[in-house]
Amino acid sequence: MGTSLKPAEYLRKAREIEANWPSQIVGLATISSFTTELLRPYLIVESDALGCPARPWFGSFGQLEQLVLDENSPLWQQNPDVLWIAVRIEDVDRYLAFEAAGIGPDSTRNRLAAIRHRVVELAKAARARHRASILVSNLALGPAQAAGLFDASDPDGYGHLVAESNRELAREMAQVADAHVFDYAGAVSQAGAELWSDPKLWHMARSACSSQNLATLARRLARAVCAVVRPAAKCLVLDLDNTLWGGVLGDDGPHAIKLGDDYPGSVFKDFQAALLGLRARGFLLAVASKNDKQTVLDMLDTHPEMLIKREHLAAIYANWDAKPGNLRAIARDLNIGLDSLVLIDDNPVERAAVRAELPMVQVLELPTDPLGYLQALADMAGLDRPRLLDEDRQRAQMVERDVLRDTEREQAGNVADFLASLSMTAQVGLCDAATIERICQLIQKTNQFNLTTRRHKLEDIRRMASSPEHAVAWLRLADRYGDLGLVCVGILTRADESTWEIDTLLMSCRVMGRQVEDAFLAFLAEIAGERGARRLRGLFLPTPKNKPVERFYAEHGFAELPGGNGQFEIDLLAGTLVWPAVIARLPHATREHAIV
Amino acid sequence: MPLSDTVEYRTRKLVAEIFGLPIEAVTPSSSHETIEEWDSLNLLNILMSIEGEFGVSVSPEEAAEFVSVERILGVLRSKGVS
Repeated sequence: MGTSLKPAEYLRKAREIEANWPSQIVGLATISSFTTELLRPYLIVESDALGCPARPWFGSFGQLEQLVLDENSPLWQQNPDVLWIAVRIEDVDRYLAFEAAGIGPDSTRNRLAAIRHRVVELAKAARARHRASILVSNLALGPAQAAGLFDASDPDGYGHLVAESNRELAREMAQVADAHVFDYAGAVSQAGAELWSDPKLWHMARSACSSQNLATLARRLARAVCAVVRPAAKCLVLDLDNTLWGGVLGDDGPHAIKLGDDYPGSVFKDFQAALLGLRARGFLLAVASKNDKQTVLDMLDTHPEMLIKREHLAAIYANWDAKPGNLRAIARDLNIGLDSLVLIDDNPVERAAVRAELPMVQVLELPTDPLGYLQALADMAGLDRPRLLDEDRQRAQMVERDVLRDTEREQAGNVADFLASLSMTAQVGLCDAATIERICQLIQKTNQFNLTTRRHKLEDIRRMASSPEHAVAWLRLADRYGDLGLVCVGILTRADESTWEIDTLLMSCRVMGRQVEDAFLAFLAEIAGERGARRLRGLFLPTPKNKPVERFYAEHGFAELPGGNGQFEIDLLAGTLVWPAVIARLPHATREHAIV
Repeated sequence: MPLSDTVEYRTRKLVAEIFGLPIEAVTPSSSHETIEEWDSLNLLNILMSIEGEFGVSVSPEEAAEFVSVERILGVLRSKGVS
């Protein structure tokens, strides 16, 4: 990420990229209190480099409410996927930084709150009008650093008040659906506040930052855009020798490898701690390493300096096979796509082999010097999650229980006995405020067990959830090993007087093969029946990934309609879609029309 | 000095990159009158590029002169870049 092009090179490269833009491109609209137009070539180049090319559009600076409130404004004509609302203190309350000391903390707080209310109202107004994901800049102190060296020493210092306001902004934005804080203040401090802006560009053109920092800002913004439109990776696949510790375990032995509290072992220990931090944020960890399996297990179980232990790993492939094969096996074991894997491996040859054979796998470009590992991890765009859900926090533990369940399955021999032994309980219901974010998350990221793969945006889901012509349904599952969370999503749409159509039907792959899909289909049939349907229509739209469910409707008694466009129907009056006895059904929340 | 190292050539190359033109199409007489996209926004792009390329600082007053390749070369000459 360190390679910075010169301004003219950005312009040339942006032009080349623009000439070959794919049809699938992210529309990024910007409304701002300063000139953002100069970011254009930088955003084009940096978003393309992240594999998430964006087409930027810029509102005239200072036009905010005019663009957002008018439904026919040029902003909404762009039909953007992402909207960036960028307001700076010095543009809207020009001398606040200098006046803060004179007016005192209460008045300063009020004036900061006024700026915050303005952007929050803009975000809410945008939310009410359009489905675009929203990014709102937080506030940076500004170039002047007017408050001086001991500002931080004053509990009511300007810097503290701005930080307080930013925290409040985060709280308020969390209340707006699919709206997130863009850490503009973080970009300024990363680049260094003193070097951030160029007074000449500011006074001549109302540009917020210097030419070097246009690239920095564009890179961070492109990363944020990428994170809100694209699902995050799911599993980090780790190499061992010279990645998790220094040296080669098989040659040097567990006592001679470098891992501990002193250099160079401390570098690797820190890296392990950072990886565990990502695990706590919902990423699975797995190992793929050319090593002897028993030696690796001993290392994991007994080496006193290892922070990553066997129980943190969702899969361990230590063998002498080629890496791409092991990555395939890990994806299969964990029931996730290869494009959800990130390879972390110090060996450039292994990285190249994986890139060549499995181009969909994300590969972290680790520097030769382990001192740079942590920064490389921090710079990895695929690891950003705009909002952590409880399911994310618990994912790692849930998958470990899956491994236990699989062991039981092998022992039980008979599937029916195995399923009965799980003591499954399910709860079903309709989308509400408590479930909508998880529903949206599953709609964005489920690939395999997904009959239509329609990626409805949060706003569309909200609209359907509150319309009598649709029903947005879910199922939560638990078994004796623990709560598996919300695992099924279905959307029904009234097609005609007597027919309802299954617009969306998906299930988390972790619960495949347990008749959960039968239970959920029975629930969908029940909803359709209650709303007057006599027939239920299913739809299968093939993608490269959903082959496992191509026969789903046929296997559940639906008849394929002529025309070959993937439509199936079943007569509900025949009553063939029944809830399986092996899953206990918990009483659910009201079936009334859900208000989100 | 090879042609490609001269200030004139490097300046023409920057202008060509900024406007997406072949270098042959950019001459000392190219200006905001001959290149349609040479507006105030691209003037800033020229300014940033010139500063980066030649390691000089251009004042707003000097940047106002950036309306043709010839005038840019004039400003650079006044800074001892030639």
